Amino acid sequence: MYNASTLLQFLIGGISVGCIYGLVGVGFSVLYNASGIINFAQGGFVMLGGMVTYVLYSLVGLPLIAAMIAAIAFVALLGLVIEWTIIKPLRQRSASVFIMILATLACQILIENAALHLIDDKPHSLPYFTPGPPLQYAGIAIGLQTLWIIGVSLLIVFLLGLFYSRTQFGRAMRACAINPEVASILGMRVERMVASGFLLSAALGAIGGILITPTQYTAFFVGVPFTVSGFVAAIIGGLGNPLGAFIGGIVLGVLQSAGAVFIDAGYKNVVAFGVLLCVLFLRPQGFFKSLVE
Amino acid sequence: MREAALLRSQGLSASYGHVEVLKPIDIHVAPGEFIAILGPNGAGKTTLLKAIMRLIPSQGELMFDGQSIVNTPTWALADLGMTLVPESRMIFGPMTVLENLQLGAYSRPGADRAAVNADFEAVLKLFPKLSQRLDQIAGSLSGGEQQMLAVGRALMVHPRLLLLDEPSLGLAPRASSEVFQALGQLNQQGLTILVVEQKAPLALSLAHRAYVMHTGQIIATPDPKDIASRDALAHLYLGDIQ
Repeated sequence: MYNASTLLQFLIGGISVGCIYGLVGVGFSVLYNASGIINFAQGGFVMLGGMVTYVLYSLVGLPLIAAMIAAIAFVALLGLVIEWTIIKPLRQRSASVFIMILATLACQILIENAALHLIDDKPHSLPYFTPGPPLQYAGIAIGLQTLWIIGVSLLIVFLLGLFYSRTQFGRAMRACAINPEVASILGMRVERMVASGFLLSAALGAIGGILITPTQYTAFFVGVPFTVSGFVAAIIGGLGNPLGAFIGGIVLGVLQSAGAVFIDAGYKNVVAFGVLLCVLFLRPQGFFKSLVE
Repeated sequence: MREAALLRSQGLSASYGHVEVLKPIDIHVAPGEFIAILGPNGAGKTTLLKAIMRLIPSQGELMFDGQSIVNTPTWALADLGMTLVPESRMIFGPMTVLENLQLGAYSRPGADRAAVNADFEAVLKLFPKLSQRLDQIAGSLSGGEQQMLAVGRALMVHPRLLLLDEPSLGLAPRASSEVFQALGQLNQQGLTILVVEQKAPLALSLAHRAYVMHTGQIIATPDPKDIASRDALAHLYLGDIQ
Protein backbone atom coordinates (compact mmCIF):
# COMPACT_ATOMS: atom_id res chain seq x y z
CA MET A 1 0.00 0.00 0.00
CA TYR A 2 1.07 3.56 -0.62
CA ASN A 3 0.94 6.20 2.06
CA ALA A 4 -0.49 9.68 1.47
CA SER A 5 2.86 11.41 1.07
CA THR A 6 4.01 8.93 -1.58
CA LEU A 7 0.80 9.46 -3.54
CA LEU A 8 1.16 13.22 -3.16
CA GLN A 9 4.73 12.95 -4.38
CA PHE A 10 3.58 11.18 -7.56
CA LEU A 11 0.74 13.69 -7.94
CA ILE A 12 3.21 16.59 -7.90
CA GLY A 13 5.41 14.76 -10.40
CA GLY A 14 2.35 14.27 -12.65
CA ILE A 15 1.35 17.92 -12.36
CA SER A 16 4.88 19.02 -13.18
CA VAL A 17 5.19 17.02 -16.41
CA GLY A 18 1.50 17.75 -17.10
CA CYS A 19 2.30 21.49 -17.11
CA ILE A 20 4.72 20.88 -19.99
CA TYR A 21 2.15 18.78 -21.88
CA GLY A 22 -0.25 21.62 -21.14
CA LEU A 23 2.11 24.23 -22.60
CA VAL A 24 2.50 22.13 -25.76
CA GLY A 25 -1.29 21.76 -25.86
CA VAL A 26 -1.64 25.53 -25.43
CA GLY A 27 0.66 25.90 -28.45
CA PHE A 28 -1.69 23.67 -30.46
CA SER A 29 -4.67 25.75 -29.35
CA VAL A 30 -3.03 29.11 -30.03
CA LEU A 31 -2.28 28.15 -33.61
CA TYR A 32 -5.67 26.53 -34.09
CA ASN A 33 -7.28 29.75 -32.83
CA ALA A 34 -5.33 31.80 -35.33
CA SER A 35 -5.60 29.59 -38.39
CA GLY A 36 -7.63 26.44 -37.88
CA ILE A 37 -4.38 24.47 -38.44
CA ILE A 38 -3.12 21.68 -36.18
CA ASN A 39 0.66 21.91 -36.11
CA PHE A 40 2.32 18.54 -35.68
CA ALA A 41 5.73 20.22 -35.56
CA GLN A 42 4.85 21.53 -32.09
CA GLY A 43 6.92 18.82 -30.36
CA GLY A 44 9.86 19.77 -32.58
CA PHE A 45 9.73 23.27 -31.10
CA VAL A 46 9.82 21.73 -27.60
CA MET A 47 12.88 19.66 -28.51
CA LEU A 48 14.61 22.64 -30.14
CA GLY A 49 13.96 24.83 -27.10
CA GLY A 50 16.04 22.48 -24.96
CA MET A 51 18.62 21.60 -27.62
CA VAL A 52 19.36 25.17 -28.76
CA THR A 53 19.64 26.31 -25.14
CA TYR A 54 22.08 23.43 -24.54
CA VAL A 55 24.18 24.44 -27.57
CA LEU A 56 24.29 28.12 -26.61
CA TYR A 57 24.95 27.44 -22.92
CA SER A 58 27.25 24.42 -22.97
CA LEU A 59 29.01 24.77 -26.31
CA VAL A 60 28.98 28.51 -27.05
CA GLY A 61 29.30 29.50 -23.39
CA LEU A 62 26.49 32.04 -23.06
CA PRO A 63 25.02 32.62 -19.60
CA LEU A 64 22.00 30.34 -19.03
CA ILE A 65 19.42 33.14 -19.08
CA ALA A 66 20.86 34.60 -22.31
CA ALA A 67 20.95 31.13 -23.89
CA MET A 68 17.29 30.57 -22.94
CA ILE A 69 16.12 33.91 -24.35
CA ALA A 70 18.10 33.42 -27.55
CA ALA A 71 16.73 29.87 -27.94
CA ILE A 72 13.13 31.07 -27.52
CA ALA A 73 13.74 33.84 -30.08
CA PHE A 74 15.36 31.36 -32.49
CA VAL A 75 12.53 28.83 -32.24
CA ALA A 76 9.87 31.57 -32.54
CA LEU A 77 11.63 32.82 -35.67
CA LEU A 78 11.75 29.27 -37.02
CA GLY A 79 7.97 29.06 -36.50
CA LEU A 80 7.64 32.24 -38.54
CA VAL A 81 9.93 30.87 -41.28
CA ILE A 82 7.82 27.68 -41.50
CA GLU A 83 4.73 29.83 -41.89
CA TRP A 84 6.33 32.02 -44.60
CA THR A 85 7.94 29.26 -46.61
CA ILE A 86 5.47 26.39 -46.26
CA ILE A 87 2.08 27.35 -44.82
CA LYS A 88 1.58 30.69 -46.55
CA PRO A 89 2.28 29.35 -50.07
CA LEU A 90 -0.08 26.44 -49.37
CA ARG A 91 -2.80 28.85 -48.22
CA GLN A 92 -2.28 30.94 -51.34
CA ARG A 93 -2.84 27.78 -53.39
CA SER A 94 -6.06 27.18 -51.40
CA ALA A 95 -4.67 23.92 -49.99
CA SER A 96 -7.01 22.10 -47.61
CA VAL A 97 -6.33 22.12 -43.87
CA PHE A 98 -5.42 18.42 -44.14
CA ILE A 99 -2.62 19.21 -46.60
CA MET A 100 -1.30 21.90 -44.25
CA ILE A 101 -1.41 19.50 -41.30
CA LEU A 102 0.55 16.96 -43.34
CA ALA A 103 3.06 19.71 -44.17
CA THR A 104 3.55 20.42 -40.44
CA LEU A 105 4.22 16.70 -39.89
CA ALA A 106 6.91 16.88 -42.58
CA CYS A 107 8.36 19.91 -40.75
CA GLN A 108 8.54 17.86 -37.54
CA ILE A 109 10.61 15.22 -39.32
CA LEU A 110 12.84 17.89 -40.91
CA ILE A 111 13.45 19.58 -37.55
CA GLU A 112 14.25 16.24 -35.92
CA ASN A 113 16.74 15.27 -38.61
CA ALA A 114 18.31 18.73 -38.68
CA ALA A 115 18.91 18.47 -34.91
CA LEU A 116 20.40 14.99 -35.35
CA HIS A 117 22.83 16.05 -38.07
CA LEU A 118 23.66 19.59 -36.90
CA ILE A 119 23.97 18.87 -33.16
CA ASP A 120 24.27 15.17 -32.28
CA ASP A 121 22.33 12.06 -31.27
CA LYS A 122 23.14 12.20 -27.53
CA PRO A 123 20.80 13.18 -24.72
CA HIS A 124 21.63 16.50 -23.06
CA SER A 125 20.47 18.30 -19.97
CA LEU A 126 20.59 21.80 -18.51
CA PRO A 127 21.29 22.96 -14.95
CA TYR A 128 18.41 23.74 -12.60
CA PHE A 129 17.38 27.40 -12.87
CA THR A 130 17.78 27.72 -9.10
CA PRO A 131 20.40 25.39 -7.63
CA GLY A 132 19.63 23.83 -4.28
CA PRO A 133 18.07 20.86 -2.54
CA PRO A 134 14.33 20.12 -2.92
CA LEU A 135 11.93 21.72 -0.48
CA GLN A 136 10.78 19.22 2.13
CA TYR A 137 7.26 19.40 3.57
CA ALA A 138 5.32 16.66 5.37
CA GLY A 139 7.47 13.95 3.87
CA ILE A 140 7.16 15.33 0.34
CA ALA A 141 10.11 16.66 -1.62
CA ILE A 142 9.42 19.33 -4.22
CA GLY A 143 12.29 20.14 -6.56
CA LEU A 144 12.96 23.79 -7.22
CA GLN A 145 12.75 23.18 -10.96
CA THR A 146 9.27 21.72 -10.43
CA LEU A 147 8.25 25.03 -8.86
CA TRP A 148 9.72 26.86 -11.87
CA ILE A 149 7.76 24.62 -14.25
CA ILE A 150 4.45 25.08 -12.44
CA GLY A 151 4.94 28.81 -11.79
CA VAL A 152 6.05 29.79 -15.30
CA SER A 153 3.34 27.63 -16.91
CA LEU A 154 0.60 29.20 -14.79
CA LEU A 155 1.93 32.68 -15.54
CA ILE A 156 1.93 31.99 -19.30
CA VAL A 157 -1.62 30.65 -19.25
CA PHE A 158 -2.77 33.68 -17.23
CA LEU A 159 -1.09 36.11 -19.64
CA LEU A 160 -2.55 34.30 -22.65
CA GLY A 161 -6.02 34.60 -21.13
CA LEU A 162 -5.50 38.35 -20.83
CA PHE A 163 -4.12 38.51 -24.37
CA TYR A 164 -7.18 36.83 -25.91
CA SER A 165 -9.78 38.67 -23.87
CA ARG A 166 -8.31 42.12 -23.24
CA THR A 167 -6.21 43.01 -26.27
CA GLN A 168 -7.57 43.95 -29.66
CA PHE A 169 -4.87 41.85 -31.37
CA GLY A 170 -5.79 38.77 -29.33
CA ARG A 171 -9.48 39.23 -30.11
CA ALA A 172 -8.60 39.70 -33.79
CA MET A 173 -6.65 36.41 -33.78
CA ARG A 174 -9.77 34.64 -32.55
CA ALA A 175 -11.95 36.48 -35.08
CA CYS A 176 -9.69 35.38 -37.94
CA ALA A 177 -10.09 31.75 -36.91
CA ILE A 178 -13.88 32.07 -36.58
CA ASN A 179 -14.39 33.68 -39.97
CA PRO A 180 -11.34 34.90 -41.91
CA GLU A 181 -13.43 36.46 -44.68
CA VAL A 182 -15.43 38.63 -42.30
CA ALA A 183 -12.28 39.46 -40.36
CA SER A 184 -10.68 40.80 -43.54
CA ILE A 185 -13.82 42.80 -44.36
CA LEU A 186 -13.32 44.52 -40.99
CA GLY A 187 -9.70 45.35 -41.79
CA MET A 188 -7.85 42.43 -40.20
CA ARG A 189 -4.87 40.97 -42.08
CA VAL A 190 -5.53 37.26 -41.77
CA GLU A 191 -2.08 36.18 -43.00
CA ARG A 192 -0.48 38.34 -40.31
CA MET A 193 -2.59 36.61 -37.64
CA VAL A 194 -1.58 33.16 -38.90
CA ALA A 195 2.09 34.19 -38.84
CA SER A 196 1.65 35.54 -35.30
CA GLY A 197 0.02 32.25 -34.30
CA PHE A 198 3.05 30.30 -35.56
CA LEU A 199 5.43 32.68 -33.79
CA LEU A 200 3.55 32.44 -30.50
CA SER A 201 3.01 28.67 -30.56
CA ALA A 202 6.67 28.04 -31.44
CA ALA A 203 7.80 30.28 -28.57
CA LEU A 204 5.46 28.41 -26.18
CA GLY A 205 6.90 25.08 -27.32
CA ALA A 206 10.45 26.34 -26.78
CA ILE A 207 9.61 27.58 -23.27
CA GLY A 208 8.15 24.17 -22.43
CA GLY A 209 11.28 22.44 -23.72
CA ILE A 210 13.59 24.71 -21.72
CA LEU A 211 11.57 24.25 -18.52
CA ILE A 212 11.49 20.44 -18.70
CA THR A 213 15.06 19.78 -19.84
CA PRO A 214 16.74 20.24 -16.40
CA THR A 215 14.44 17.59 -14.85
CA GLN A 216 14.67 15.13 -17.73
CA TYR A 217 16.86 15.44 -20.78
CA THR A 218 16.51 16.57 -24.34
CA ALA A 219 17.57 14.83 -27.52
CA PHE A 220 16.68 15.00 -31.19
CA PHE A 221 13.98 12.32 -30.78
CA VAL A 222 11.96 13.77 -27.86
CA GLY A 223 9.76 15.91 -30.08
CA VAL A 224 7.25 13.32 -31.26
CA PRO A 225 6.22 12.14 -27.74
CA PHE A 226 5.65 15.79 -26.81
CA THR A 227 3.63 16.35 -29.98
CA VAL A 228 1.42 13.38 -29.10
CA SER A 229 1.03 14.35 -25.42
CA GLY A 230 0.38 18.00 -26.26
CA PHE A 231 -2.18 17.07 -28.88
CA VAL A 232 -3.92 14.76 -26.42
CA ALA A 233 -3.93 17.60 -23.87
CA ALA A 234 -5.51 19.93 -26.41
CA ILE A 235 -8.16 17.36 -27.34
CA ILE A 236 -9.04 16.58 -23.70
CA GLY A 237 -9.32 20.29 -22.93
CA GLY A 238 -11.20 21.17 -26.10
CA LEU A 239 -9.14 22.22 -29.12
CA GLY A 240 -9.11 26.00 -29.36
CA ASN A 241 -9.26 26.69 -25.64
CA PRO A 242 -5.76 27.40 -24.24
CA LEU A 243 -6.84 27.10 -20.60
CA GLY A 244 -8.64 23.85 -21.41
CA ALA A 245 -5.52 22.53 -23.16
CA PHE A 246 -3.41 23.39 -20.14
CA ILE A 247 -5.79 21.64 -17.76
CA GLY A 248 -5.92 18.72 -20.23
CA GLY A 249 -2.13 18.51 -20.02
CA ILE A 250 -2.21 18.34 -16.23
CA VAL A 251 -4.92 15.66 -16.35
CA LEU A 252 -2.76 13.65 -18.77
CA GLY A 253 0.36 14.06 -16.63
CA VAL A 254 -1.47 12.99 -13.47
CA LEU A 255 -3.02 9.99 -15.26
CA GLN A 256 0.39 8.86 -16.48
CA SER A 257 1.70 9.23 -12.96
CA ALA A 258 -1.26 7.23 -11.58
CA GLY A 259 -0.68 4.51 -14.18
CA ALA A 260 2.97 4.29 -13.15
CA VAL A 261 2.08 4.10 -9.43
CA PHE A 262 -0.90 1.77 -9.42
CA ILE A 263 0.00 -0.58 -12.26
CA ASP A 264 3.52 -0.27 -13.59
CA ALA A 265 5.70 2.45 -15.08
CA GLY A 266 5.45 0.65 -18.40
CA TYR A 267 1.68 1.05 -18.37
CA LYS A 268 1.57 4.79 -17.80
CA ASN A 269 0.72 5.55 -21.42
CA VAL A 270 -1.81 2.69 -21.57
CA VAL A 271 -3.75 4.32 -18.72
CA ALA A 272 -3.40 7.83 -20.15
CA PHE A 273 -4.43 6.96 -23.68
CA GLY A 274 -7.16 4.62 -22.46
CA VAL A 275 -8.66 7.62 -20.73
CA LEU A 276 -8.22 9.65 -23.93
CA LEU A 277 -10.24 7.05 -25.84
CA CYS A 278 -12.97 7.28 -23.20
CA VAL A 279 -12.97 11.08 -23.58
CA LEU A 280 -13.23 10.77 -27.35
CA PHE A 281 -16.16 8.40 -27.06
CA LEU A 282 -18.02 10.31 -24.35
CA ARG A 283 -17.12 13.92 -25.08
CA PRO A 284 -15.35 14.28 -28.44
CA GLN A 285 -15.45 18.08 -28.24
CA GLY A 286 -13.35 17.98 -25.03
CA PHE A 287 -14.24 19.31 -21.61
CA PHE A 288 -13.99 23.02 -22.38
CA LYS A 289 -15.63 25.09 -25.06
CA SER A 290 -13.42 26.30 -27.88
CA LEU A 291 -12.86 30.05 -28.06
CA VAL A 292 -13.55 30.01 -31.78
CA GLU A 293 -16.42 27.54 -32.30
CA MET B 1 -11.26 66.62 -61.39
CA ARG B 2 -12.74 64.79 -58.41
CA GLU B 3 -14.89 61.76 -59.19
CA ALA B 4 -18.56 62.53 -58.42
CA ALA B 5 -19.38 58.92 -57.57
CA LEU B 6 -18.18 57.40 -54.31
CA LEU B 7 -18.21 53.96 -55.94
CA ARG B 8 -18.12 53.25 -59.66
CA SER B 9 -17.73 49.99 -61.53
CA GLN B 10 -17.07 49.78 -65.26
CA GLY B 11 -17.26 46.45 -66.99
CA LEU B 12 -16.87 44.60 -63.68
CA SER B 13 -17.17 40.87 -64.31
CA ALA B 14 -16.34 37.69 -62.44
CA SER B 15 -16.20 33.98 -63.17
CA TYR B 16 -16.25 30.78 -61.20
CA GLY B 17 -14.03 28.53 -63.29
CA HIS B 18 -15.19 28.88 -66.89
CA VAL B 19 -18.67 30.07 -65.90
CA GLU B 20 -19.08 33.83 -66.11
CA VAL B 21 -21.41 34.55 -63.16
CA LEU B 22 -21.07 38.31 -63.37
CA LYS B 23 -21.28 39.82 -66.85
CA PRO B 24 -19.72 43.26 -67.30
CA ILE B 25 -21.51 45.51 -64.81
CA ASP B 26 -21.58 49.31 -64.73
CA ILE B 27 -22.95 50.85 -61.57
CA HIS B 28 -22.28 54.01 -59.64
CA VAL B 29 -23.14 55.20 -56.16
CA ALA B 30 -23.03 58.91 -55.37
CA PRO B 31 -22.25 60.20 -51.87
CA GLY B 32 -25.36 60.17 -49.66
CA GLU B 33 -27.33 57.83 -51.91
CA PHE B 34 -29.28 54.74 -50.85
CA ILE B 35 -29.00 52.25 -53.69
CA ALA B 36 -30.92 48.97 -53.88
CA ILE B 37 -29.80 46.02 -55.95
CA LEU B 38 -32.70 43.68 -56.53
CA GLY B 39 -33.13 40.35 -58.20
CA PRO B 40 -34.09 36.75 -57.64
CA ASN B 41 -31.88 34.02 -56.20
CA GLY B 42 -28.89 33.30 -58.40
CA ALA B 43 -29.01 36.70 -60.12
CA GLY B 44 -25.41 37.44 -59.11
CA LYS B 45 -26.11 40.05 -56.43
CA THR B 46 -23.88 38.50 -53.76
CA THR B 47 -21.15 37.87 -56.34
CA LEU B 48 -21.26 41.56 -57.26
CA LEU B 49 -20.77 42.55 -53.61
CA LYS B 50 -17.92 40.05 -53.26
CA ALA B 51 -16.26 41.46 -56.36
CA ILE B 52 -16.63 45.01 -55.00
CA MET B 53 -15.11 43.90 -51.66
CA ARG B 54 -12.25 42.19 -53.56
CA LEU B 55 -13.20 38.84 -52.02
CA ILE B 56 -13.16 37.15 -55.44
CA PRO B 57 -11.03 37.83 -58.51
CA SER B 58 -12.71 40.02 -61.11
CA GLN B 59 -12.03 41.89 -64.32
CA GLY B 60 -12.92 45.47 -65.18
CA GLU B 61 -12.50 48.78 -63.36
CA LEU B 62 -13.60 49.58 -59.85
CA MET B 63 -13.15 53.01 -58.32
CA PHE B 64 -13.76 54.14 -54.74
CA ASP B 65 -13.68 57.88 -54.14
CA GLY B 66 -11.85 58.41 -57.40
CA GLN B 67 -9.17 55.83 -56.68
CA SER B 68 -8.87 52.45 -58.36
CA ILE B 69 -9.31 49.62 -55.87
CA VAL B 70 -8.84 46.77 -58.34
CA ASN B 71 -5.54 45.80 -56.70
CA THR B 72 -6.53 46.76 -53.16
CA PRO B 73 -6.71 43.82 -50.73
CA THR B 74 -9.96 43.37 -48.83
CA TRP B 75 -8.44 44.26 -45.46
CA ALA B 76 -7.36 47.68 -46.76
CA LEU B 77 -10.89 48.68 -47.84
CA ALA B 78 -12.00 49.24 -44.25
CA ASP B 79 -9.25 51.81 -43.92
CA LEU B 80 -10.48 53.56 -47.07
CA GLY B 81 -14.02 53.73 -45.64
CA MET B 82 -15.91 50.82 -47.17
CA THR B 83 -17.22 47.71 -45.47
CA LEU B 84 -19.82 44.99 -45.87
CA VAL B 85 -22.51 43.45 -43.68
CA PRO B 86 -22.36 39.92 -45.09
CA GLU B 87 -25.25 37.61 -45.86
CA SER B 88 -26.47 35.61 -42.84
CA ARG B 89 -24.91 38.25 -40.57
CA MET B 90 -21.71 36.28 -39.84
CA ILE B 91 -21.20 37.72 -36.40
CA PHE B 92 -18.38 36.24 -34.32
CA GLY B 93 -20.70 33.85 -32.47
CA PRO B 94 -18.42 32.62 -29.65
CA MET B 95 -17.47 36.18 -28.71
CA THR B 96 -19.49 38.70 -26.72
CA VAL B 97 -21.53 41.51 -28.25
CA LEU B 98 -19.01 43.99 -26.89
CA GLU B 99 -16.06 42.10 -28.41
CA ASN B 100 -17.83 42.02 -31.79
CA LEU B 101 -18.31 45.78 -31.68
CA GLN B 102 -14.73 46.36 -30.54
CA LEU B 103 -13.46 44.31 -33.48
CA GLY B 104 -15.42 46.53 -35.85
CA ALA B 105 -12.98 49.29 -34.92
CA TYR B 106 -9.90 47.13 -35.56
CA SER B 107 -8.75 49.10 -38.59
CA ARG B 108 -8.85 52.43 -36.72
CA PRO B 109 -5.68 53.63 -35.05
CA GLY B 110 -5.44 53.79 -31.26
CA ALA B 111 -5.14 57.57 -31.32
CA ASP B 112 -8.70 57.74 -32.61
CA ARG B 113 -10.15 56.61 -29.26
CA ALA B 114 -12.58 59.53 -28.81
CA ALA B 115 -14.04 59.00 -32.29
CA VAL B 116 -14.33 55.24 -31.69
CA ASN B 117 -16.14 55.87 -28.40
CA ALA B 118 -18.49 58.30 -30.13
CA ASP B 119 -19.31 55.67 -32.77
CA PHE B 120 -19.83 53.05 -30.06
CA GLU B 121 -22.35 55.33 -28.32
CA ALA B 122 -24.04 56.05 -31.66
CA VAL B 123 -24.42 52.31 -32.36
CA LEU B 124 -25.99 51.73 -28.94
CA LYS B 125 -28.32 54.68 -29.49
CA LEU B 126 -29.34 53.27 -32.89
CA PHE B 127 -29.81 49.75 -31.48
CA PRO B 128 -30.67 50.15 -27.77
CA LYS B 129 -31.28 46.39 -27.47
CA LEU B 130 -27.55 45.80 -27.88
CA SER B 131 -26.68 47.99 -24.90
CA GLN B 132 -28.47 45.52 -22.60
CA ARG B 133 -26.61 42.58 -24.08
CA LEU B 134 -23.01 43.76 -24.29
CA ASP B 135 -21.67 40.88 -22.18
CA GLN B 136 -23.86 38.25 -23.83
CA ILE B 137 -22.36 35.69 -26.22
CA ALA B 138 -23.29 36.98 -29.66
CA GLY B 139 -24.32 33.55 -30.95
CA SER B 140 -27.13 33.45 -28.37
CA LEU B 141 -28.84 36.60 -29.71
CA SER B 142 -32.06 36.39 -31.73
CA GLY B 143 -31.80 36.71 -35.52
CA GLY B 144 -32.90 40.36 -35.46
CA GLU B 145 -30.45 41.22 -32.70
CA GLN B 146 -27.66 39.47 -34.58
CA GLN B 147 -28.42 41.57 -37.65
CA MET B 148 -28.36 44.71 -35.51
CA LEU B 149 -25.00 43.59 -34.16
CA ALA B 150 -23.68 42.91 -37.67
CA VAL B 151 -24.74 46.41 -38.78
CA GLY B 152 -23.38 47.93 -35.57
CA ARG B 153 -20.05 46.14 -36.01
CA ALA B 154 -19.80 47.48 -39.56
CA LEU B 155 -20.62 51.01 -38.34
CA MET B 156 -17.68 50.75 -35.91
CA VAL B 157 -15.47 50.72 -39.04
CA HIS B 158 -16.76 54.30 -39.54
CA PRO B 159 -17.49 53.65 -43.21
CA ARG B 160 -18.36 56.20 -45.84
CA LEU B 161 -20.00 53.45 -47.88
CA LEU B 162 -21.88 50.61 -46.21
CA LEU B 163 -22.69 47.54 -48.29
CA LEU B 164 -25.30 45.09 -47.02
CA ASP B 165 -26.07 41.64 -48.39
CA GLU B 166 -29.68 40.54 -47.81
CA PRO B 167 -30.09 42.16 -44.38
CA SER B 168 -33.67 40.84 -44.08
CA LEU B 169 -32.73 37.22 -44.80
CA GLY B 170 -34.14 34.86 -42.17
CA LEU B 171 -35.64 37.66 -40.07
CA ALA B 172 -39.20 38.02 -38.85
CA PRO B 173 -41.05 40.89 -40.62
CA ARG B 174 -40.89 43.08 -37.52
CA ALA B 175 -37.15 42.57 -37.12
CA SER B 176 -36.63 43.32 -40.84
CA SER B 177 -38.57 46.57 -40.46
CA GLU B 178 -36.46 47.58 -37.45
CA VAL B 179 -33.24 46.96 -39.35
CA PHE B 180 -34.40 48.89 -42.43
CA GLN B 181 -35.68 51.71 -40.23
CA ALA B 182 -32.19 52.00 -38.79
CA LEU B 183 -30.68 51.95 -42.30
CA GLY B 184 -33.02 54.79 -43.26
CA GLN B 185 -31.85 56.82 -40.26
CA LEU B 186 -28.21 56.20 -41.13
CA ASN B 187 -28.77 57.31 -44.70
CA GLN B 188 -30.53 60.47 -43.51
CA GLN B 189 -27.47 61.19 -41.38
CA GLY B 190 -25.40 61.10 -44.57
CA LEU B 191 -24.13 57.51 -44.78
CA THR B 192 -24.03 56.13 -48.32
CA ILE B 193 -25.67 52.71 -48.52
CA LEU B 194 -25.71 49.98 -51.15
CA VAL B 195 -28.05 47.15 -50.23
CA VAL B 196 -28.65 43.86 -51.97
CA GLU B 197 -32.12 42.62 -51.14
CA GLN B 198 -34.70 40.15 -52.35
CA LYS B 199 -37.56 41.78 -50.46
CA ALA B 200 -38.00 44.62 -52.94
CA PRO B 201 -40.67 46.67 -51.11
CA LEU B 202 -38.44 47.08 -48.05
CA ALA B 203 -35.46 48.23 -50.09
CA LEU B 204 -37.44 50.35 -52.54
CA SER B 205 -39.16 52.20 -49.68
CA LEU B 206 -35.79 53.77 -48.83
CA ALA B 207 -33.86 53.67 -52.09
CA HIS B 208 -33.06 56.71 -54.22
CA ARG B 209 -32.20 54.45 -57.15
CA ALA B 210 -32.30 50.74 -57.87
CA TYR B 211 -30.63 48.24 -60.15
CA VAL B 212 -32.32 44.97 -61.06
CA MET B 213 -30.07 42.00 -61.74
CA HIS B 214 -30.86 38.80 -63.57
CA THR B 215 -28.43 36.04 -64.67
CA GLY B 216 -25.40 38.08 -63.73
CA GLN B 217 -26.27 41.35 -65.45
CA ILE B 218 -28.15 44.58 -64.82
CA ILE B 219 -31.42 44.39 -66.71
CA ALA B 220 -33.26 47.45 -65.39
CA THR B 221 -32.81 50.61 -63.36
CA PRO B 222 -36.35 51.31 -62.18
CA ASP B 223 -37.43 54.44 -60.36
CA PRO B 224 -38.17 53.29 -56.79
CA LYS B 225 -40.97 55.87 -56.46
CA ASP B 226 -42.73 54.63 -59.56
CA ILE B 227 -45.47 52.27 -58.40
CA ALA B 228 -46.00 50.91 -61.91
CA SER B 229 -42.38 49.86 -62.22
CA ARG B 230 -42.52 48.26 -58.75
CA ASP B 231 -45.52 46.18 -59.79
CA ALA B 232 -43.81 45.22 -63.01
CA LEU B 233 -40.73 44.17 -61.04
CA ALA B 234 -42.82 42.09 -58.72
CA HIS B 235 -44.48 40.37 -61.60
CA LEU B 236 -41.41 39.78 -63.73
CA TYR B 237 -38.56 39.02 -61.38
CA LEU B 238 -39.44 38.87 -57.75
CA GLY B 239 -42.46 36.64 -57.52
CA ASP B 240 -44.82 37.35 -54.65
CA ILE B 241 -43.32 40.31 -52.82
CA GLN B 242 -46.40 41.66 -51.14
